[in-house]
Amino acid sequence: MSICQTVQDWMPWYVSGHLEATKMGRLARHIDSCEACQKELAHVIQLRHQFALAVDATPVPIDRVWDVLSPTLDAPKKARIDVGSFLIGVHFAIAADNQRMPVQGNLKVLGHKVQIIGRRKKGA
Amino acid sequence: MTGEGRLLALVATQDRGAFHLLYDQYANAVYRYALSILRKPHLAEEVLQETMMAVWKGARHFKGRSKALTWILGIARNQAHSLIRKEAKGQRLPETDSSAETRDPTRNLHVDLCVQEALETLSPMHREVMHLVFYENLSMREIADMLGIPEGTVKSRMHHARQAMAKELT
Repeated sequence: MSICQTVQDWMPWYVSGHLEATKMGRLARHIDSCEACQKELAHVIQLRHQFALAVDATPVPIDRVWDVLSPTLDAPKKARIDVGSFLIGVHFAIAADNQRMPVQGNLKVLGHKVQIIGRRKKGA
Repeated sequence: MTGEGRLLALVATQDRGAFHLLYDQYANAVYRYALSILRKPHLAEEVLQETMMAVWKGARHFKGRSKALTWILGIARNQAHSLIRKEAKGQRLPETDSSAETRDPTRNLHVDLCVQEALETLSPMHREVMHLVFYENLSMREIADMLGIPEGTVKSRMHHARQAMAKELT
């Protein structure tokens, strides 16, 4: 790979200042002495600017989503049904709330809980 | 702890005021990042909602090993890919009308549209990296950690994205 190609691959991060000082210095020295890389640098700066403008022009439905989200934050359970027997060790539970996961069902066999309906909880 | 870390710590205690602040601070970034992956406003809106709900419920899991922004965008990414999988299985709801939103009329629409059209030609993974570099201003290391790929792959995706954009815009 040519020096110019290497320098040009680093350019997006050179423009955003996300390189360590020594690398920034090396790139700056090469760009100062290379017309092709100066031209490419101008392209990267222009593309970055146009890209940001195009993304900024996209409307974001901030208020609409907040209006939907806000009432669901403390959503209480709407219903829960438990059927089973502690004595024989078999237990079935089904629960619903008003968030997006409406129904969950668990089967408990001899103390081991097995989820049979709904999605398992994952860490965020 | 940074300011953003403190904000997430407050959200972890179910502080609604802190959550509203956090929402105001990150909703734009989440929506626009989701849109860069999905290209459909109604799906990006759903990702914003699901991501913020996941943050509300899971803020205690933020350990401060990354910026809050990259942690939240990581959640948004998972949500977006989950929607893509649902779409592929035909489990999605029909599209709702989001056409009421309007663009800023003072903007140079021609340039915006040219760039938007060029972006449509990129593959999702190239568009995503370009968004994270040019819009979110993330370092190569941050993007690599967030996407779970080597730094060299970030660099090569960015290289291909720039080449494709240059070809479309000339």
